[in-house]
Amino acid sequence: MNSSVKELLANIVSEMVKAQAGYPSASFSSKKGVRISKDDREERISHVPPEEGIVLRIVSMDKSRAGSLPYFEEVATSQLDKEILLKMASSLSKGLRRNVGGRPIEPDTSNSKKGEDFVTECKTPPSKVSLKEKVDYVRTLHAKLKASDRRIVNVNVNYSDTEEAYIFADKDTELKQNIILTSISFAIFVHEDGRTEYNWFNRTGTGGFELTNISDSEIEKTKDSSLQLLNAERLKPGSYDVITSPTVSGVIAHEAFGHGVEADMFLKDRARGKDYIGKPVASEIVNMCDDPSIPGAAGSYFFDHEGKLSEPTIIIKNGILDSGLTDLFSSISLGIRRSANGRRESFKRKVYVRMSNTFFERGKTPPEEMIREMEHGIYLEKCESGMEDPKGWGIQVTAHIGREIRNGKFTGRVYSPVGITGYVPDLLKSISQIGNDFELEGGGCGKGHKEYVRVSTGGPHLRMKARLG
Amino acid sequence: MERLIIEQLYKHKDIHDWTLTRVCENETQLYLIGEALESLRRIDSTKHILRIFNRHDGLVGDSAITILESDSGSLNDKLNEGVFMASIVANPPYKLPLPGVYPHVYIKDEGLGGDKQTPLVDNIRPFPYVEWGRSILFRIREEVHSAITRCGVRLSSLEAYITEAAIGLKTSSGIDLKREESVISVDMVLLSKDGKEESEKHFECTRRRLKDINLRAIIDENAKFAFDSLKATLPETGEFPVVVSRDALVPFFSPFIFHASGNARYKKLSRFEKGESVFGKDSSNRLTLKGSTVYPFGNNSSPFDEEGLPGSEVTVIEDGRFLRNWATKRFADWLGIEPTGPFGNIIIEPGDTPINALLKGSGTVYHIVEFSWMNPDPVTGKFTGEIRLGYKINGNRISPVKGGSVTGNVFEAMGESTFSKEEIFLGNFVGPEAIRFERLSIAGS
Repeated sequence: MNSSVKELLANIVSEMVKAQAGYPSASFSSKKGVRISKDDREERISHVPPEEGIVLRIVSMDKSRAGSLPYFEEVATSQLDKEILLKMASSLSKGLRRNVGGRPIEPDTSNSKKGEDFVTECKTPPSKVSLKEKVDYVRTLHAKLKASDRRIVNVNVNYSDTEEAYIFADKDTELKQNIILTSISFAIFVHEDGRTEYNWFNRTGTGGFELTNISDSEIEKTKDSSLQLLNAERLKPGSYDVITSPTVSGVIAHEAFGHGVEADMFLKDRARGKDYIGKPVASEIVNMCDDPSIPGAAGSYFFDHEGKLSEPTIIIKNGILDSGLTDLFSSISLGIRRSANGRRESFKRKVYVRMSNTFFERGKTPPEEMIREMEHGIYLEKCESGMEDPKGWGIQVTAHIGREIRNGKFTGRVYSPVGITGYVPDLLKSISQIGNDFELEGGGCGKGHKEYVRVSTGGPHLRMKARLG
Repeated sequence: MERLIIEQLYKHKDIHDWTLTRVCENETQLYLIGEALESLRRIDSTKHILRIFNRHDGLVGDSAITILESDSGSLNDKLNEGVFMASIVANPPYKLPLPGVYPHVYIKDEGLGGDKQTPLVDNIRPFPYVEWGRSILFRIREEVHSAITRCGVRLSSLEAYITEAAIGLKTSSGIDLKREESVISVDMVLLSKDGKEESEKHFECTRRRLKDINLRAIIDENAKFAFDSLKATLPETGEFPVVVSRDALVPFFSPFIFHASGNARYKKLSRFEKGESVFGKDSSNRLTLKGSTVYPFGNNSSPFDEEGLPGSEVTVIEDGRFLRNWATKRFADWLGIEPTGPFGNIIIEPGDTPINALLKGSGTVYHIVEFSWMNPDPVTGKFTGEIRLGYKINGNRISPVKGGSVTGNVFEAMGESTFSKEEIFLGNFVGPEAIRFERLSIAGS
C-alpha cells in the first residue's frame, strides 16, 4: 500500500511541476492502532481513531492586500483514487498558475533524500503481540492495582499502540517513515470519609510493547500518592523555594520557551522572544533544547511533515536565548535557520511550527542534595496542565501534588493542586540548581486550544523561586 | 461502500448487533498572518465508524472500528478483526435503542448557500465545488479588516473555518437516520500598542450559524481588552469576591456534569445523591442545570446520538439539588434508569441580580474575563487558573489585572455564588453571563 502511495505522490508532484505550479509537494499520512481500557466496571476496545489522507500543496501569491505575498494553497482529501487525485492536482495547479510569478517559497532541496525509509526500532513490535495478550495484560495490571488497598474505589487502565505512516514528496525528495507509539497509563481512585482523590501513572514513547513493563515500585508510588492526597491541603498562596520534578520541569520548558520560540509566533508578533535572541533570559546554568531525533521519546520523528530531516535545536545556551523553532514558511519569511518542526495534527489541518521533545539539559547536582539543602520549600510533582503566554511572558503550570520540605526533609504535608504563575524570565533566572538526573514524559500539546500533536517534555530536577497558589 | 458493509454485517454469524455511522465532511480553511494570507485549504473526507457487538457467555463485548476509503478491498478482514476484538471483551449486556420519534433540531445554517447546483457524491460535494466556502471566508476577512481598522488595533492572526457535514446512522435495531450540519469557527488574535508596550488578546468563536458570530461586536470588545491588558498589573494576594463572566465561566460546570452522569454513578465516582444538595452543604444557590441536545443551533445539538437515541433536554440539578442522571443507553441499561443520550449543551437558569450589582461590594472585587487555562478537576472539583485578564474593582476605581492565579473548589465556590440575570448564548452554553463567587483565593503580588 505505502509503496504504491509513494509512487502516486511522485507522479502527482511531477504533474504539478509540469504545470509550473510554485514549489509543489504532496504528502500522505495515516494513523492506525488499537486501544484497550478497563476499569472496575467496564472494558472497552477500539481502533485508535484512524486518519488517512493526502495533502497536495503549492505556493501562490496573495495580491489582494499588504502587497504581493506568497502563501500556501492546499487541498486535502481522504480519497486515494489516482484519477481523482490527478484531477485535483491539475485543478489546483491551473487555478494558481495564473497568479504565481516565480517561486517565492522554495527550500533548498539540493541535499534532499530520495527513497529513504525510516521505521521506529522496537524490541517487541506491537504487531507481534496478539490482541488477546494485550487484553490479558490490561486485565492483569488492573487486578493487581485494584487489590493493593481497600480504599481504592476504581482503577482505570489504558493501553494503546499506534502506527503513524507518513510519506512526503517534492521534486527532489521522497521520504517515508513509520512511527510506532506505545502508551500505558493507569489512574487509581481512592475514597475515604466522603472524599475522593486520584493519582496516575503514564508512560508513552516511540517503541513497542516493551514500554509496558511497569515496576512494582512505580505502582506502589502511584498508589501511595493517591492515598496521601486524601489528606491534601490547599497551599497558602505566596512565593516559595521550589524543587520541580522532571515532569514539572519539562512543562515549564515547554510553556516558557517552547511555545515562545515557535517562529510563526514571531511572524504574528505574538512572541516577545523574537526581540531577545542573543540576550539573557534565564540563569546562566540553564540550557534548553528541542530534539525530534531522540530514540524512544514520545515526540520523536525522522523527518517533519514538510520533509525536513530531524535534528536538535538549541533554544537556550548558558542562559542566553539562542534560536527559534521553524517550519518552511516561517524560516523563509524570517530568513532564519529551518528546523524540523513543521507538523500537522492530521491531513485535515495545516502545518504549524510545533515542538517535539523539549527539555532542560542535565546539570550537576544530585536531586537528593537539592532536597537536603532546602530549608523550607515545596517539591512539585505530576503535571496537570500548562499554558503559554509568549507575548506577555506569563506562565501557568499546575502540579497535581506539592510536598512540603523543612530542614532538608519531607514533612508529610501534601498540597493539591498547586499552580505556578509568574513572569517567565524571573522564573528561569531564579533557577539556582539543576539536577544530574533526566527524564522525559510523553503527552499531547495544543497550539492555543487546538491542533494536538504528540510531544514529550522533561529534563532534570530544578530548584527555583516561584509564586505558588 | 455503505451498502457493501451492511451486506457483510448481515452475513457474519458472530456479529449480533451493530451500529454504522457515516461521516462526510467538506471544510474550507483560511489562515492570515497579519493581514496577509498564509494558507488557504480545502478538505473533504469520508469515513465509516462501525461498532460491532458480540454476545458470549451471557455477556456482551463490543468494539469500535473505523473503515476508510482504502479498506474496501479488505472489508472482510476488518470485520473479522472487529468481531475478534468484541469477542474478548466482557461487559454486562445492554440493548441498542429502537427507532423513536426524532425532534427537528436546527443545526445547519441554511443561509450559507452552499453549492446546490453540484450533485452530491456519497452525500458530499467534492473539492472543486466548494468555492462558496472560500467566498464566505474572504467576506469574513474583509469584515475583520474594517472592524480592526476602526478599533485602532492590529491583526496578529486570523483562522476561519467553514464546515459542512452529512452524518448517517444505521443500526441492526432498525434505525436509519441522516442529518446535515454546519460549523463556522473564527480564531483571532488582536494586538494593541502604547509606546513600546504591546499586548495581545486571543479569542475563538464557534457557532452553527454565521449570524451568531457578531464579528464587529466581538472585535470591539476584545480590542478594549487588548488595550486594557497594556495597563494591567498583578492582583493582590488574599481571599476576595470574584466575578467570572462569559467564556471564562463555562468550565466551572464540567465537574457538575461529570458527577451527574450515569458513567460516574455506575463507576462509583459520583458525589451526588438524589434530592441532596450538590454543594455538599445547604446553600442559598438555586443552581438549575439542564443538558440539551435540542437547543436551536447549539454546538452540541443533534436530533439523534451515536446509537440512535432521540435528542432531548434533561434537568439534572434543580434548585441546587441533584435530580437525576443523564446517561447514554449503555449506562442507563446498566443502572436500570431511563436513557437521555449525551449531555449536550449546558443550560443554566439565570439569577435575578444585574451584573452591575455583582461587581459592587464593600471592599475589593475582582472580575475575571479570561483565564490562561481553566480546567477544574472533574472528580475533585479543585481548580487553579492564571488570570489572563481581569479587573480590580474598588468602589468606582477599576483597574485591569493579569498574572497571578485563582484557586478553589467548584463545589464549595458555586455554593456561595450568585448568578446574573443577564443571559448569554455561547455556542454550547446558555445561561447567566456572569457569576459572583463570594470567596476565592488569589495568589498575586
